[in-house]
Amino acid sequence: MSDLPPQEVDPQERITRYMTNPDWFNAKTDHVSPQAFKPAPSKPPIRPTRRTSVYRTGGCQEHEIWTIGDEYVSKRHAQQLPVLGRADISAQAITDEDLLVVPHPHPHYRHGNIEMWPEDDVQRQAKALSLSRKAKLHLRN
Amino acid sequence: MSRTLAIRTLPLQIIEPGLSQESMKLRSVLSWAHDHANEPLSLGWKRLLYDQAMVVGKRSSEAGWDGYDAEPITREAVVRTLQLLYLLPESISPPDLIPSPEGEISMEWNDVRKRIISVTPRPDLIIWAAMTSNEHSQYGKAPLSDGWPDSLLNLLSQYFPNVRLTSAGS
Repeated sequence: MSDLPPQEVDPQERITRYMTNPDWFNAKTDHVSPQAFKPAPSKPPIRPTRRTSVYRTGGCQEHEIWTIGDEYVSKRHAQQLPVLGRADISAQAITDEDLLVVPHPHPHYRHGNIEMWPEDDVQRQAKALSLSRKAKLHLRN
Repeated sequence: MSRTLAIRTLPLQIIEPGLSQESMKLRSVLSWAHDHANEPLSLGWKRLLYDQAMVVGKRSSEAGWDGYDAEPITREAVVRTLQLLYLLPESISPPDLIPSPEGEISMEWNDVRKRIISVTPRPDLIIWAAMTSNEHSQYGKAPLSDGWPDSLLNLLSQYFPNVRLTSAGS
């Protein structure tokens, strides 16, 4: 496995959102849905703020990226939903939307969250749409 | 270039004091079911989307359906989507129905030119965002009881017309 990522997130770093839901992408139009990036509502004390779970995959080889998804997204789910694809985006594209990638090294040292989502529904919808438009879709073979 | 203009039907909303929230929800479901049952059989794509909305709702009815922390999609959320689909003009191309981690079913249109319009019903609001190029984005909200906002319908007519209808009419 590749080296530990630095504590501070580099703007050029690749950020990966794994997708287990087949409706979250469209292979024909190479489209990632804004819903793939939207956070679930906050639920204190378990989830004090809105956050989108992502992985910092900069420096990882392709097979390593998929392995992280299999081991830490799919296998941790009660139904073990398979990872069908992923949306890759740069950390810079996320901060350009006034959102933050916050390292959160659990359940894996590469895990992080996209945070600072606005409370306003419209602003959140607009930011999620902008992220989805900048993301690159990768399908599982 | 000609384009089909959206035809809009305003929903009828009756508010009666003294009715419980549950009664209002039940009335909302019954009202939609009544309208649905009285539609002409020719409504091909809408009928398919109604069925699809119910499938998406059922498939996403438990928390964490996305492999993360998603809220369950409730029956009320499915009905909100059905109501908006019912009011969507036939001149607009059918949307994709996408489950949202916030517990709603979103309607989305996208194409290979990365034009995206995303519409999400909320308990009292319709929320929407659109990007039709790197420079052009629009977003807004409107009361759900008013149905589809004109500005949004104009955008949909412009970028996502129902090709089958427009070519049949030209």
